[in-house]
Amino acid sequence: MMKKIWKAVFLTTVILCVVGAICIGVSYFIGGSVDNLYQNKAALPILEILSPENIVNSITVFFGA
Amino acid sequence: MNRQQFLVELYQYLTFFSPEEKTRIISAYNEKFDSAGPDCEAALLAEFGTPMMAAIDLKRRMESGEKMTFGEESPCEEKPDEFASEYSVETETEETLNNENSEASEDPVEDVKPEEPSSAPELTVPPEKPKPRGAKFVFAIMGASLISLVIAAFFLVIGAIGAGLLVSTCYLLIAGLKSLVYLTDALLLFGGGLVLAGLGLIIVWFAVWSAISLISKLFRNACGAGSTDSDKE
Repeated sequence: MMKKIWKAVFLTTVILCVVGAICIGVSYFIGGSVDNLYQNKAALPILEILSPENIVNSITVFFGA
Repeated sequence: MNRQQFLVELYQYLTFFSPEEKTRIISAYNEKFDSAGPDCEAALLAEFGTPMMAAIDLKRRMESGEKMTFGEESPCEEKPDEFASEYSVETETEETLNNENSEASEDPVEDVKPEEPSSAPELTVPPEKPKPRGAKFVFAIMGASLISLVIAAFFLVIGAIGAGLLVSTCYLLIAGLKSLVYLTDALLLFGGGLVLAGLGLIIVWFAVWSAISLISKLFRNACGAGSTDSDKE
């Protein structure tokens, strides 16, 4: 049972990662970049949340509190 | 395979029977071997088939409510060459079986005597003992509960990280949908979201699986520690 779930999860992960990598690759191929993405107002809030500085700050606050 | 090996293996396959029934069955087989004599042993073994087949047949008979008993006469004495075709396992009434059982010796181990020196293990009936579970068992369960709490907390943190990745995926996909005008941005957001979704999924499942496996193993060991050595065997 567990093995079957492991297989399904692993397969789903591989598929998602491959498709995601293809999307990122195509985007870079046609001229996209992360710097340009920061100019996008719709994407800016989530990019700030996911930025490494913000994550490190969150962890520091969590363990410092 | 000789008689000793056959009986030992048959005993091991009789997992669906109680120890008393196992003893009765082995006694019946012993009696049949004794009455047939050493000359007919090979023919009897050929007739019985493999121990596994014999055990399956016995189980089938038990499920259908039949009682297993053997024919009274030994065809081997009359026609040794045609023993296998004539000998058959008959179904009789319970009274007949009880008579046979009463005649059979109580301990089949004594009846199973190797006719030649061999390394086959001796047929033994493990004695039934009560399972004492005392303070050791209670402490083991309490310890397992405490450790399982720590394990659950640890894997909860890992699972939360995975869940955070999945939530981020949703935000990235929503942002991508909002940015469909800019194809490059949308593709970047979708790509990043899908990669994060894959990572989050496997991290969450790893946390769940690890917690379940470790905690169940912990409690299994705790239950094993609470029982006596004979229980482990």
